[in-house]
Order: sequence, then C-alpha cells, then structure tokens
Amino acid sequence: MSSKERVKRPKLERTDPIRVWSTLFGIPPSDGRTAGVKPGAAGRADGSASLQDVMSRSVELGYRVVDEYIRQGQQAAQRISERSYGPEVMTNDMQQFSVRMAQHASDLVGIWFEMVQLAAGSAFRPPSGFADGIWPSPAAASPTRARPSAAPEGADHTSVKIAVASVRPTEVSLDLRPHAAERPLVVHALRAVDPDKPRLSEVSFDGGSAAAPATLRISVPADHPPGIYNGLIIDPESSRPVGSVSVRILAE
Amino acid sequence: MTTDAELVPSMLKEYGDITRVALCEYLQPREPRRHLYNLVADYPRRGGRMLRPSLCIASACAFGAARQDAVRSAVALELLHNAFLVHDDVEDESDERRGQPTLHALHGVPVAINVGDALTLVGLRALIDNRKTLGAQLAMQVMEEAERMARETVEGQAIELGWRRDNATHLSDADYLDMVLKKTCWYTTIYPSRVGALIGTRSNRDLDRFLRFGFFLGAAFQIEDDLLNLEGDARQYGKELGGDIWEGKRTLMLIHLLRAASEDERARLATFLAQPRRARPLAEVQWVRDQMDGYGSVEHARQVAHALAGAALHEYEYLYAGLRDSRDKRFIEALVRWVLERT
Repeated sequence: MSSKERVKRPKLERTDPIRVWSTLFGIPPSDGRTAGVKPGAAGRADGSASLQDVMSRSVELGYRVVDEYIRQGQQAAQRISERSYGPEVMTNDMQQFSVRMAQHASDLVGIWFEMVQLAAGSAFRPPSGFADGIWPSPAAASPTRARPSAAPEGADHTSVKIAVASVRPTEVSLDLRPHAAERPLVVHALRAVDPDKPRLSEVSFDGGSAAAPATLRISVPADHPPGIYNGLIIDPESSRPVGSVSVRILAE
Repeated sequence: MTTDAELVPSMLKEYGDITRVALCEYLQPREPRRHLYNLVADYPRRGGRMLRPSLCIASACAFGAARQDAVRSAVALELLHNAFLVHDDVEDESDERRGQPTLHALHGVPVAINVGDALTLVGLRALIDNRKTLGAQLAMQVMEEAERMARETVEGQAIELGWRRDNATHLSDADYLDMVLKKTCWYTTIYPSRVGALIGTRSNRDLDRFLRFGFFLGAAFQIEDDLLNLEGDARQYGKELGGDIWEGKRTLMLIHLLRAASEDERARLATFLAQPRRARPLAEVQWVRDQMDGYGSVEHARQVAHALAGAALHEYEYLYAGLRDSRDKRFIEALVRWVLERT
C-alpha cells in the first residue's frame, strides 16, 4: 500500500441496528438440534421464515388465550353483579341505558361522517358534540360499546382514529404503546381462535404522524361469522409489535 | 451501576433474604414437630430462587410502596407455593425437589399431604397478619387475590391431571397455554405483580392488565422450565432431568411431538403415556426424548418461549414505562430476559 493512499474504512454491510422482533433475545441456538429434522418438524433448516411465523403465531395465540380468559372473567363478574335487582339498581341501569343509547347514536353519526369524509376525500368534519371517531388509546372503542381505558396512572396517551363499517354490533379493543400512532403502522388480517373461521382481512392503518394520528379502518363483511378476531400491530420500521387489536363480532 | 445481568440475581438474593427472615416467624418449631412442623419447614428451607416473593415486593416498590408493606404477602405466596409443591410432588410421583428426595419419598404420602395442608394454613396466617401493616380493607383485597390465585392454580392442576388420567393425546398449543395460565402463571407472575400493584397504588383498578403481563412472563417461564427439565444442568435444576417425560407431563414439546409424529409413532407414544410412571421403560423415555429432537419439538418450544417473552416486554412497557425509574422497575424488566437465560 502506498504511503500516500488514504486509509479508508471498509464499506459496512449495514448502517442501522438490526431491529428485528424475532431476534430480540438473539437467534435461538441452532447448534445441531435442528439438523436432520424430520418431515413435519418445526422450523425449516435455515430457521428464517418459519421462525418468524412461529413467533408471530405464538404471540397471537397468547393474546387470544388471555383475552378470551379476561372476557370470560368480565362476563362472570357481570352475571354476579346482575344477581341483585332492587329499584336502585334498576334506576341506575335505566340511566346507563339512556347514556348508552345516546352514545350509540353519537357513534353512528360519527361513523357516517367518517364514511362521507372518505367518499368525498375532503376534510369534512362532523359537528362538535358528536363522536368523531377519535378515542384516546390504549382504549376500546366500537360503534356500539366502549370499554373504559385501562391505562394506569402515569402512562402517556396517544390518539388514534377508528373507523368501523359493520352491519352487526362490533366491539373493537385497541392497545397501543404511547405515541405508537404517531408513525405509520401495519396490521395483518385478524385471526379467530377457531382455525376454520375466515380471517378478517379488511383491516388497515392509514396515516400516522405526530401531526395527524393514524386511523384504524375495519370493514366487517355482512356474512362474516361472529367471534373474536385478533391481530398484532407492527411498526414496519423496527418490525416490532407495538400493540394489538381485537375485534368482536356479535351475533344479531 | 449494576448491569441487567447482575441485577436479577442480586435483587432475587436481596428480596429473597428479606422474605426468608420474615418466613422464619411462621416456621417456628412447635409440637407436633416430628411429623408436622419440622417437615413444614423442610421445603421452604431448601432454598429456591425466591422469584415469586421478589416479584411481589419489587412490583409493590415500583408502584411506590415500602418494602415492608409487601413482605407478608410475599411470605404467604412462598408458603402457598411450597404447599402446592408438596402436593404436586405426590400427584406427579416426583422423586426429587431442590436437589433432595421429595417429602413423600422421605416420609410417605399421608404425612406429606398433611404437611402440604399445614403449609396452606400457615400461608393463610401470613395473609391475616397483613392487617397490621396494610389495614383491614387492603388486607382483605390481598386475601381475595390470594383466594383467586389458589383457585386458579388448583383448576390448572386439575386440567393437567385430567389430561394424564384420560391419556389425552390430541392437545393444541392453545390448550397448553390455557392450562399454564391457570396452573403456573397465576401464582408465579400474575398474583405477585397484581398484589404488588394493589399494595403500591392502594387501588384495585386496572388489575386485569396485569393478567396479560403475568401470563406472557409466566408462560415463557414455564416453557423454559420444561426445557431445562430436558437439557438443563442437573445440579442447578434441582429435579431429575427428563422427569417430565417419565411423568408423562403434557409439555409444549410433548404436545408438539404428538402433533408432528407419524401415525405409528403417535400410537407408540400413546401406549407409552398410558403406562403408569414406574412401568415406563428407560429405553422408551429415551426414544421420546430423541423424537423431540428429531421433530424439532424442543426448538419449537424455545421459539414460543422467546415470542411470549417478547410479548411480556410489550405488556411491561404499558404497565411500568410510565413509572419513575427505579431498581425495582428495571428488575421487573430484566426478569423477562432472565427467564430465558437462566440455567
């Protein structure tokens, strides 16, 4: 090497950290254990696509199991709380019913405006006083019911817009990390626990920036079987999950 | 400053020591010693990592409580854990616990069952004593959490025992996770983190959220524990290696193998699992172990454990990220990685 020649750094194979969800804890050891695996064995020899799939499915399955467990617990609690029905309880229920009916009307108008906005492609905004589809997240939202936020004190909030098109009562539960909605997000087709049920594929995120939070759009086909459908929300930049969405389609 | 790798062992020791000291108050020798109280103290004195009490204390402190406020709940948890272990060892016909013969192997099944019952009652005493530091209302809430934890645990155990009794061979990963949620997660991670938050915040609001964190962490812990049973360090593991295969325990690896094996192999597996533990030949145990490698069942379980641990970290962010920085908060986060890295 000539003394005049400048010493240059070799070109790097990559310039960013590897932020791949599946290697969060390092690649699981493949020290010969997967060598010579039998047909039907878990994972391909290179452990690449199959590994991603196993990890993604495992997390989805985990959320389905625990969310179904929580739902059953909530139903049990509701049944217990409904056992005593004195006049006071009835009055409270009537008040709650009125509030819920007002909420339904407000939500439906909000969705209608959302649809008009979509069709017109304009910045048409619903009048104040109606729900405009923006809920604080993490939260649950739906055209028919809304679950109160489960965020503990001290947690940051972010906003996300949810647009649901469904002819049947549908509940949407959305969990997002703080500020996750301020960047583009990806959500794959939602799956039910029952593998025979079709996936809910018309689910997508639009937008997503610090100025304009993301919009989660869900369209439920009229003939889609009732049930709970879950999916992960992925930050495409880091390939890491930043939340989950659960859609419960109720029977008529 | 302590690194993550050092933080978990050091805090397990620190909070474990605090719990052991408080535990002594409930394990005082008294009559009848020979067939009861000396034996009640046996399993708690054998050591153990003290994961559950440490998580309980750390969760309380992360939410602003003083350590002392959570110690009795941690003691109760450790006592109930040991009560479950005594009975589990009988039900599973296990030979070793924490590197020594199991209690029923040493003293017979009737005595062991009675000791397990006594450990439950001593744990109940610690929960009642919570009134002294937490007040009656909060102590009662912790008691309710403990009752639910114990109920979920025995329900989970019933599911698993039923699988063995009925020689279930068509189980899915979802079945396994359902069972683990009840049998392991509730008392290993859900209850400690929920009760810690309950004591720290003096409120039972939003405790459902801890179900998710505790479930993912606990399930990753259980799968990793089952993997250690196959290929861990025998001295550190404290139980017989391969014991789960001898017991016919429906681990994620076995469930995967039952799914992936050919029809003939599945029939051979079903025959093996239908035999009583003592009748299972060593050669067949070795064959099952080899099939788990051959079909990638071990690798599959490891991948699932890693994925669930990732989800636990995601849920951790939601629950704890908004809290002020503390060793306790960092310990809980580091615990997720430790679960996968322990030997």
